[in-house]
Amino acid sequence: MSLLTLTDLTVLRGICPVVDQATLAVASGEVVGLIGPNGAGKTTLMRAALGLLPHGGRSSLDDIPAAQRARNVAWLPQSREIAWPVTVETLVMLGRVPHLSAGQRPSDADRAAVTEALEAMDLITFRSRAATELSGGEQARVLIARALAQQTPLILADEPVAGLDPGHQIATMQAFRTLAAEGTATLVSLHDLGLAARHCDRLVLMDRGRIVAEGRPEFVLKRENLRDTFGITAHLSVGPDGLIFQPLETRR
Amino acid sequence: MRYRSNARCPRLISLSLAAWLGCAAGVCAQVPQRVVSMNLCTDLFAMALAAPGQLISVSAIASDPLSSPMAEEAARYPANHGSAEEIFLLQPDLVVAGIWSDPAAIALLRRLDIRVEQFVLEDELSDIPAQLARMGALLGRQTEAQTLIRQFETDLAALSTPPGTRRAAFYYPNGYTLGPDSLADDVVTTAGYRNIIAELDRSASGQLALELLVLAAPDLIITSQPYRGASQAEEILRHPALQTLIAVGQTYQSGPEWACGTPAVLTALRALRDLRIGGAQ
Amino acid sequence: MNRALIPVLSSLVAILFLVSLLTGPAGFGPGESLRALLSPQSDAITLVMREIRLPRAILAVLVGVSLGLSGAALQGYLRNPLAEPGLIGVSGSAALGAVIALHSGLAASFVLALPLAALTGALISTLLILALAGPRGSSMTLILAGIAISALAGALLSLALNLSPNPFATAETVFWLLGSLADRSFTHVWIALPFMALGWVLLLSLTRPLDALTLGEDAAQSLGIRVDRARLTLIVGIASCVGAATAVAGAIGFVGLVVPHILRPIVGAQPGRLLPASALGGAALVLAADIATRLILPERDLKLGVLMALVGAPLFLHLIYKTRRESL
Repeated sequence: MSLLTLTDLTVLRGICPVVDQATLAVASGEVVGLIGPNGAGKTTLMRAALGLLPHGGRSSLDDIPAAQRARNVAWLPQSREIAWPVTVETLVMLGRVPHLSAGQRPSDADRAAVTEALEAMDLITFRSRAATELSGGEQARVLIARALAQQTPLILADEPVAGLDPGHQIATMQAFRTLAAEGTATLVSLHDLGLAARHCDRLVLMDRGRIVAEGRPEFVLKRENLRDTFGITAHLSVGPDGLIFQPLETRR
Repeated sequence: MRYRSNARCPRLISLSLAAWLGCAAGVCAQVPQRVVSMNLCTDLFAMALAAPGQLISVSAIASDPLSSPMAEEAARYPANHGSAEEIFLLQPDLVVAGIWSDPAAIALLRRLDIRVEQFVLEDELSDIPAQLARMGALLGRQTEAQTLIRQFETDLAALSTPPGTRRAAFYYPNGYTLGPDSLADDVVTTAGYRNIIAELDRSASGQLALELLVLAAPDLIITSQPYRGASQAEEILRHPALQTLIAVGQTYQSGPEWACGTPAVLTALRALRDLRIGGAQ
Repeated sequence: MNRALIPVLSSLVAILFLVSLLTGPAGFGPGESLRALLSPQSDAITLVMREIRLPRAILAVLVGVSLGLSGAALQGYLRNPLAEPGLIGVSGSAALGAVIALHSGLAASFVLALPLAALTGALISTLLILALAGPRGSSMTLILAGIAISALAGALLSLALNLSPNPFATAETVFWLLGSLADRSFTHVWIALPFMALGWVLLLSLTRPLDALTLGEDAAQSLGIRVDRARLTLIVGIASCVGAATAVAGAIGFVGLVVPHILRPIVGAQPGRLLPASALGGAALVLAADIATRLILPERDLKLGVLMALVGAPLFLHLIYKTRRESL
């Protein structure tokens, strides 16, 4: 069942299309990787899909009222803002806001969801610390935990693992995979093609606003696409647990 | 009325000629012929005593009906604003001013060899005859001054009453009250009231907290007429606590006749005495 | 500590309210004062208590709540601990509106013209500030815009007073720019209360939006918060609160800076919880300062704003120093 359908999504800046007629669908149980060079339009596509930007074309999230939409999809933006030195637990609890009516206090179910998210992100020992005192990587994990605590069937994440150490990068992608096994759909934009190759069911390759390739990682990451879009050569092979991908040299 | 210097020039020449000729003939005119007043109080005295044509200018404020009891009369004289340049151009032979008039202007006029006589503001009614006498002497109108003095002293004696049981308070914008160092206090005491400020252990005019006024509960509250436009300073006069006090007792708005110690102050005295008699009934 | 905060602050406000009622130049004792307040007599002490001291204490609470709440809400929305209605020119603009209403005679003909004009002044400057500061109020832009608007409002206010037909007008500049609760009456309470109450309701409704904004506007919107609606609520709420407070007491600054700063660590930096805490904290601060003006130099009419500035300006400098490491 498709949890996100984009049909001819177009975002214009002036007359220039930053996202040009993008069509894609993300089904339940999938982890879809959105890849492409800087400025390809990945962030813009995701924000437009969520209704945060005016756009042409259609997103399946368009007509849903804001409160309902917040229960359907969690958004993890690239800018990792934490404005105040609140505790990690408080911050992750913000993910439960869509499930709380006005003035309602968090219930045991909410606290359980928060604990689960903290465990998935290996943050249990940090739960009472001020979020602003943590390192950049730790803060990133806190924000991911917030999105996980929202317990939505769909997650859109913009560069969630940038700046994390390899262990936590892999753990995050594995967390998405675990959720996928339970039916969650995830659209995650990544710069690390190795991670994308290894942990995503499908890849969507964007270049200059257009979706130029879509499908299984070994198909999308073929030599021509790498050369034309990223200007690199790479090593791609199938290992015992999944694809192994390593960029090698630039080539234009 | 503004002074038009050009129109006066020919007259100036003929007058100076006459004075010089008169002086030269040994009949020197001691009496000043061109008197300028630059202070409200001296304006009032001068207007009351001067001979026709002797007073050539009064201060601008003298024609403000809210501040001056002789506003209409003052409007007939050219107005000056107390600046040395303005006054010098009038070619006066005597300038009368208050003791607090602009010292810079007065010093400048004296440097330009113009005679300036300064008057102290009196703080007791009994000082008024002396002021009248002095102004009369300066203007060469001693007879007229004596008439006014006699009239004033008679009226004053008739209106004076020793202080009784009725108590009065002054309450002006910003909560300003007047103490025994002011003429107004003398007026109110002569009318037979006691100024509550004495009960409060104060001897000087100044700000009085509204609470203390309310607690003192005077029988009469003397306040001022509000100016145009609103102001925070005057807002306190509309305070409900003050209004309650006024409703229970009496109120009187001190008008321009209180300004300076002139015989006009007897009007105020009369009004207060009537209030006291009326209030006691 | 968290749970006890609201009850502790409430008790503090109640105690200071009582002390305020018992403070004044008239030297009658506490027993007499309270009896006079409660019993339906009509003597002088009752008059003093009911018409002079009681409205003053009530107004101190109302003004304190309004300013504390406005400061906390503005800081929560702009995610900036330096934002404060007085500093960014909102109070000054409200004072300008009030002065124009009073001295043009408008307030004399229609009594609500005064708070409405102050509200309009506050509204215009809040809109200006939010337009200039952008979605995330960077300190530099905010403070610069605030300086400009404060200066302009102050200059226009002095001009308006100079043009007034009333001779006492020019001296009023001090009252409007520093603020004072002296000799206020119930008239002032009734004029201000409806607008303040509206402001409180609006600003307290921002509890959840402000919490969500900790993550930034994008994430907050994705959590289902209507950020544009929150912005509008904030603008009207602050204009109402600050406008009404300034209309009756002049521009009192620094309350909305000092109180949230002190209470923020106690509420765990959560902007939503800071709102009611700052409201009560503001009431306590203004009551305390008003009591102080009557105890320090009682004959000299020390203005409330002077004490606020003496406390608040050093704190402001300290905050600037602390945040200067972060990007401006």
